[in-house]
Amino acid sequence: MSSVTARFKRGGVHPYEGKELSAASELVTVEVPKRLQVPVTQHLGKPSKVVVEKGQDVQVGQILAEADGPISAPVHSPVSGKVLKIGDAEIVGAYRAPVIDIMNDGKFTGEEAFKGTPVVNWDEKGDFLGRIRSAGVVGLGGAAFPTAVKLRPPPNVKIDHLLINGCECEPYLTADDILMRERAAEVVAGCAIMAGILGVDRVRIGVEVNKPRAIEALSTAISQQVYTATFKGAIPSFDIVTVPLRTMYPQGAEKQLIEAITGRQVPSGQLPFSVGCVVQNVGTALAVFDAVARKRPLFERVVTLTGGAITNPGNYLARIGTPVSALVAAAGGTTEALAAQVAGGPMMGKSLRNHDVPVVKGMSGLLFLTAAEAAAAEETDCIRCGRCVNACPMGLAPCEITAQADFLKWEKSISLGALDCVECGSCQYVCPANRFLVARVRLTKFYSRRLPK
Amino acid sequence: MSENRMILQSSPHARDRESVRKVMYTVTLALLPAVIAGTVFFGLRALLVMALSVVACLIFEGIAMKVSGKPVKETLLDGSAVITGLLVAMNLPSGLPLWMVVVGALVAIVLGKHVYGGLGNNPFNPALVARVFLLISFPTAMTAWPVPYGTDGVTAATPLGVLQMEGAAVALQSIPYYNLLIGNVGGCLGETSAIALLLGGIILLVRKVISWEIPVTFIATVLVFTTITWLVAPDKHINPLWHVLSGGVMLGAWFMATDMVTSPVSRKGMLLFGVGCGFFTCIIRLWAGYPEGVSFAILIMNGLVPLIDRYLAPTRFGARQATQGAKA
Repeated sequence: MSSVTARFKRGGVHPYEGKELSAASELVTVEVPKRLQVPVTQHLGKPSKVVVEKGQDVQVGQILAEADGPISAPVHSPVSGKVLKIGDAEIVGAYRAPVIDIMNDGKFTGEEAFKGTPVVNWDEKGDFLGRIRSAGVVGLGGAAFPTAVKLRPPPNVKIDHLLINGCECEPYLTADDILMRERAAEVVAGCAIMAGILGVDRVRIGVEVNKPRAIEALSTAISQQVYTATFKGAIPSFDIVTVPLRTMYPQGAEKQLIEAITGRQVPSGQLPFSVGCVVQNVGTALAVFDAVARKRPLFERVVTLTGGAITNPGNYLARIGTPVSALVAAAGGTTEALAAQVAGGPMMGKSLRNHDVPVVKGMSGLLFLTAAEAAAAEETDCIRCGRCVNACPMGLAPCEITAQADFLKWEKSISLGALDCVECGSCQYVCPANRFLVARVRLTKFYSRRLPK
Repeated sequence: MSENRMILQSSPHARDRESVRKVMYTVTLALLPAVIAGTVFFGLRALLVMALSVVACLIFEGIAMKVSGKPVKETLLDGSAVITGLLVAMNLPSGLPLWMVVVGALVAIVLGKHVYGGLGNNPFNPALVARVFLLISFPTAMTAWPVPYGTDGVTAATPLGVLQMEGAAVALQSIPYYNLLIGNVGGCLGETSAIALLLGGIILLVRKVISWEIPVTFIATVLVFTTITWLVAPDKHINPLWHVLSGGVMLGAWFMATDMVTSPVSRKGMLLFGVGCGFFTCIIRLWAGYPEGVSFAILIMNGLVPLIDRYLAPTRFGARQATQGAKA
């Protein structure tokens, strides 16, 4: 590893990593509960359409809700059993969202179909993208954008890089780490599949140097060609490289990752396509492999349960729709010290009110934090220290943007770059006045959609 | 698990350990060497002026908080009034009548800070507002400089005063560099010891309370400007080192210009701000009526901060044109 490790150029913070809490233990499979609650829409895009009825029997992997239009994704049944109810419930990020309640019959009928020997037959390459779409694969890093959409760039755009995001720059989370360590060959095979679909040979897997075992596992899988074990037919040639990146938040933000690896900056308001890049998460790469080689829909994922207030921190494999309470039980419950709980990482995750919400495709972690870790504080007046300006990876002045928002001057706030904000939270992390900077930017974004064009 | 006990907040859920209070107390700590130097050279009277100024500032701060309906107790202890009090005192001659010190504290806290909305909202450095107010209102008292180690009532000109009245040759001859460095010269009670102020500046830099841009560009500009004038007319103008070590450059560059509230937030802005402070300091020193120009220079640049922040905003990510791949 070189002593000068690549990173994004501007801003960034280095919070307490907290990875050791959950990184060491083995992957635990959570017992599938009797009753699951599967949200109808688990992606960013047009809501899915429910295709089952109350009382209907379903099998593992059966479509519950189908994609509605090109920027959408289907949702599959994680168990076999009966549809109990189609209604509304609280999920992460929404107080009321359509969900499908399923009674698990414990037989897992239909699951056998996905358990055969995986085969990636390159002669069927034209079929790959369709399999990814119908398996309901979405970005598993957290944003949950339908993967198939990102793998089909507009026809006038030339893509020359597929970047795989293994940074896992959010503190505490180790779900991607454990996948890279334990399923490196399949992750790399998934990368190859996506590269094949895009027609690029240059694949770069970016991993922060605080995950040396993941870097080693991926490098071994690549150099010893382990990932090609399941390949058949006319295999294209690939140039796949693991790129160690400096541990610096938000290294795994899409634009920052592209800059660190290729030196290119995605212009304001544009997509990675505009600089010839496609970015996918390592967990997504594994889901792509499962979709293509096993024709297996996405109905389970690894969730990191960690923080100072959970008894057994670690990584837990859970079916989509499993209530958080079942995961908490599997991890030995929370302790008295519990002061805050978060779905996602500490920098960008969402506060949880209770343990009733279900696991969804985009849920990378659950944090159970002590009062010291959660660090809630009263905000005071901005002292213009400029720490937020230095921390902002997007080159913005958060203090100025949010000062405009305080006076409801949305246009002014937008002209200062509020819409470029990726909400990484670096500014608020360093703010000595504990100002709620990110919330103010979100408010600006909310009002920007209502302004006359 | 009871729901209402849970912290519910928008992200991020992690914070580093910095707080306004910590920032303020670090600045106070960094001022300590200069406080000690001031007491050594100007005696207990200097210590009295500083203590009085701090206490008066705290009282006025408390009253202002109460009047404007803000939480008095927590905010009073954020440390900012202590710093303002110390800085006001450091910008005064140690022999100033005590009631004038109280007037200075009143001007700094009320006119300099709270009429604008309190900490964070004032455009001008409150301590400098107080100093300039006193200088214009009580010019005689504000320019009666006690002699270091001197007895009450004995005053003499500051190095810059000597320079203005008697010229470069006399100034160089009568005031050794060593005295300028340690602070054994006449002047405001907190500005004379370059070495103590430099030590404080290093504390601020190491603790990352300030960044290098403002002090370095401020001092460098004074050095460059006075080097040029010195080279052009060595008989008329004094050398750059003398300029940097004398008067309020050190106090101004490390503690006054770097006041977060009244300086730019972007690094580019800080560079211009520092250059401007140095530039106006030299203009006033060399060609204006006052022997010293640091206070006015910083106040002028304070007034320009909103413009600087607007036109020297940080470079946004993606502003650089994409070079490859974008071509269809």
